Amino acid sequence: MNAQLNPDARVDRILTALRTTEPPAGLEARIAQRLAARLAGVTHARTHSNAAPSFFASVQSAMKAPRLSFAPAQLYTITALVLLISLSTFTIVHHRLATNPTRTDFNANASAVTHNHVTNSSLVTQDHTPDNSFEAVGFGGAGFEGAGLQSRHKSLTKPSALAAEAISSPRPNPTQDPDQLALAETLAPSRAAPLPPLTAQEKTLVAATRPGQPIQLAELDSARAPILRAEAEGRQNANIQRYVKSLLAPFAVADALQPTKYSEPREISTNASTPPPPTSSTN
Amino acid sequence: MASSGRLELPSHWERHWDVAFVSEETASETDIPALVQTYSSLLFRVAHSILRNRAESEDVVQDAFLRVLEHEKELPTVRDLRVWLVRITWNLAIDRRRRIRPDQLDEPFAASLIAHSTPADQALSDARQITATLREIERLPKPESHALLLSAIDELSITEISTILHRSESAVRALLFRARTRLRERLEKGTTR
Repeated sequence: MNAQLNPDARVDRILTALRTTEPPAGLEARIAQRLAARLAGVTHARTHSNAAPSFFASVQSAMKAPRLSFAPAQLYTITALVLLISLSTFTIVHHRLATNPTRTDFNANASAVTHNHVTNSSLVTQDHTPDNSFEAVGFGGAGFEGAGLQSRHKSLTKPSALAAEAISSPRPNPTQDPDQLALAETLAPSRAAPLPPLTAQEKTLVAATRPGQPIQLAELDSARAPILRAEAEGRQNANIQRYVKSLLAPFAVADALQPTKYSEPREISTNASTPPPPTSSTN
Repeated sequence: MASSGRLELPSHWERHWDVAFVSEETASETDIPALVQTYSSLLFRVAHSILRNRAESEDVVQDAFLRVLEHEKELPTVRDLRVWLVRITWNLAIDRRRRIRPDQLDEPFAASLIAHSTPADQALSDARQITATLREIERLPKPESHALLLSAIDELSITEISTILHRSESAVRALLFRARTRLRERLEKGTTR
């Protein structure tokens, strides 16, 4: 009861309780267990990384000690990679050599044209179209057929002189010479811009205006929709009747040639509708 | 764990563990098993003074030793390992305390302080008063409540408390005095109310 009355005693009671708190049994063991688990996890990760070293790590180590670090399988892999790279390089170089003679001369001519565009403009307009010249410079080489251009190149009046001049003159660098770049862009072949894609509304219009589907078209105009729907239905009914008539046409012809009992009422009715033929009176 | 009381530790720890058991004086303070053996009780009390829950306090102590393990290489550079460990545990306990509602911890703690032989109505009244006192301690300014709670731990001197709280010794004494005074006033008001 004293503790209830004396605040200091209440505080002391709590502080004493906190002071005398004993740790739970096995606390150290659990801490050590958790630490060991953490340490084992780290060790396991390190062991795992050591057991399966990456290829690049082995390459790096092999760069330091080339003859010691490569396993035979890795050696085969590296050899295959080197062969593959050399083969692809050879293919690329061969392809360039096959296409480059024309391209080189033509580039040279184009360079000459762009470099000396004032003095050699007559020559260019005589022997080269501007399209081909600047295709060679690099503005769209789609029409760059080697044989054809080579034959055209042979028809030049002074190819060797132009080529020599082009080789001696530096090739225009767009980053260094903005005037040449501007000229090249001015003389570049103009091509029509690709058609822009249809908008959603245009796609709806195209789909709706396909022949034979007036109902879809009517959906675009709410005022005319009932009329067009009625027209479409009438057209459909007429088509059905026409089809049925065409099916029944042989039977009608047969009935006309050989009237059967089914056709008699019609004849009777026709006879009834028609006036009776005049009879000769004896009177 | 082994039945002999020895802990199952990695092989490279066994040497340190033996040292900690056999000759405690010669054990280096940077050996983690020796640190566990030496300071786990103190750290548990430090955490318990904040959290007042045994399970949460044990978790905090384990987390503190995990931090020690992560900074194992830096241990030789630590000047006062005891204060360093207490500070780690203290901060971890405060962090954990922020995530827990106080009444989750205080009411079970208050109930644990009541003797089993106490009559039910008296036990209920005592538990309420203890809970109210704990609530008032929590309502104190943080430096004062921290100084008060750390002073409850016998193993910590005023110097160590001042190091933990980053204050001078005189400031810690002043904090303790103010905390007791403020707490007394508030509790008296609460009693007379």
